[in-house]
Amino acid sequence: MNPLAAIGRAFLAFLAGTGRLGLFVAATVSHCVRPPWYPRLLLQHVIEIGYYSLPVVGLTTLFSGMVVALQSYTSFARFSAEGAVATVVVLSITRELGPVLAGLMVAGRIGASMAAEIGTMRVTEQIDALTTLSTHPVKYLVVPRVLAGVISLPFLVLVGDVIGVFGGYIVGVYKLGFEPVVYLQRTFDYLEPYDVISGLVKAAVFGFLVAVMGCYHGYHSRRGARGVGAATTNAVVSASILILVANYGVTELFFAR
Amino acid sequence: MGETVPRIRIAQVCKSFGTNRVLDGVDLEIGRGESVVVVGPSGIGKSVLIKCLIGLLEPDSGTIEIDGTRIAGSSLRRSVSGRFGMLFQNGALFDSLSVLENVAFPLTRGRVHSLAAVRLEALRTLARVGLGPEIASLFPEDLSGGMRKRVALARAIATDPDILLFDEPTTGLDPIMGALIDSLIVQCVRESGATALTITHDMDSARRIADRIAMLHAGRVLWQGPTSRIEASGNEVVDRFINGVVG
Ligand SMILES: Nc1ncnc2c1ncn2[C@@H]1O[C@H](COP(=O)(O)OP(=O)(O)OP(=O)(O)O)[C@@H](O)[C@H]1O
Ligand SMILES: [Mg+2]
Repeated sequence: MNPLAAIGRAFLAFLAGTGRLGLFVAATVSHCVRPPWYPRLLLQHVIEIGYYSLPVVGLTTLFSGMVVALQSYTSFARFSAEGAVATVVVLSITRELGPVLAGLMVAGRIGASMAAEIGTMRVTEQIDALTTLSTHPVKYLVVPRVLAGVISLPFLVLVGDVIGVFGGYIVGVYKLGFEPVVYLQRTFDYLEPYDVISGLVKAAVFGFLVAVMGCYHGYHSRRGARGVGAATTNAVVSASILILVANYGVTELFFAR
Repeated sequence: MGETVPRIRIAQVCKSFGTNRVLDGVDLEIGRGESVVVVGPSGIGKSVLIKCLIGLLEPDSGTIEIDGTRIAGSSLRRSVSGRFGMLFQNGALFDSLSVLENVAFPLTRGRVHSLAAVRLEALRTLARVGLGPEIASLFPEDLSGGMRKRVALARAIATDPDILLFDEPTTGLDPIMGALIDSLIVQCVRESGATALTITHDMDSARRIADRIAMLHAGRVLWQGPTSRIEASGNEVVDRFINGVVG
């Protein structure tokens, strides 16, 4: 075994994969703007992603809001800045935790199921059958899912923001002894629309990433049950990593302004 | 136009998977309204041939013409794909759609399924393959293997395409159902003037369906001729194949 050859092969495989992904994204975007469209499928996926992920996202952000309140209280007490708890909770939830946690949860829930479903269709020749029935598989399978991801995640994150702030409020008022009115006032005093909007923009980006990775790995799934299993794993892992990378990128972009 | 152009012309088509050379210069012509059956041992590349023809696989070399127009490249091929009806060997039914939605798919191309006319047409197509309306709301996983095959067949013929490609339409069916499907294929060819290319292992079925039989062997068409002449092909491999002689 020549180690250089192994490195070279891995590098070439990486380049080939990147190129294939690029083509896939380009095809998806170009099919987004060309008819026919499938509004019924879009609605179906929006409900699947936006509505059925609500419990998962709600629970995640609820407990995150609660724990942020608790943690920031103990840390800030060291320099007697306990009053900032409400502000810290709302800013960290809207700017960071809401979108990132919702993105990661949806990557596990939706990205995996998209990869498994499309991968199974690939393996059982259903995607080939679509082509023979004059229906472009990217248009029919991928575009509705990606659009649904971009539409649904901001909605999910908005709901998650509210629930997360509510979690902080519960801990702040019932455990840490803040006055309810004061806590709420502090929450909104320093909150700017920009904080919420930047989180929603992130959410849309994450929704796109989750859906594209799920569809891409399913679409290029290898044969057999094993191929579909690998596609599912790869979809979740790659979507999660890309979410964290893109999170930094988008934040940098927003801060740079 | 002195000579008639064949509906399908396959010339010198080659296809390899890695080092496995599956098709090695296949030549086959199918005229309008003709029914050709391709036979050959398992794993010889019959399904690969049919997939090259419809554009799911790209041949490494060779030409495929439909009505004298060469089709190459997947985008060009897609423009003619509406004229094809294809039955996959494993059915390839959409398992997230009901039987009715599957059969209606070519009529609606995946859009609104609730139109009464579409529903009626789909039920009529189901009846043609010997299936009643009671299974219309079931899902493919609820059906037996033979029923699935017939639903897939119904989906392939629902729009009365010009060119029908059937990959083992009667495998897994009982003899009576097999004969029904055979007569349905013959009916499609005789009545709507469709051109049919059928793959089968069942020589009785081949004799019923085919105007002409072609035998694929070692990547090429080893023998082809009218159905009535297959017994007198004079080719040892063909004789062994149709009589099921081992060796
Ligand atoms: N996608 C593919 N990748 C790699 N090899 C393939 C692929 N599809 C088919 N083959 C190979 O091509 C050869 C022919 O396969 P094909 O499915 O055409 O056989 P067949 O003649 O239809 O057999 P059967 O009668 O059993 O259906 C086989 O050796 C198979 O391993
Ligand atoms: Mg086959």
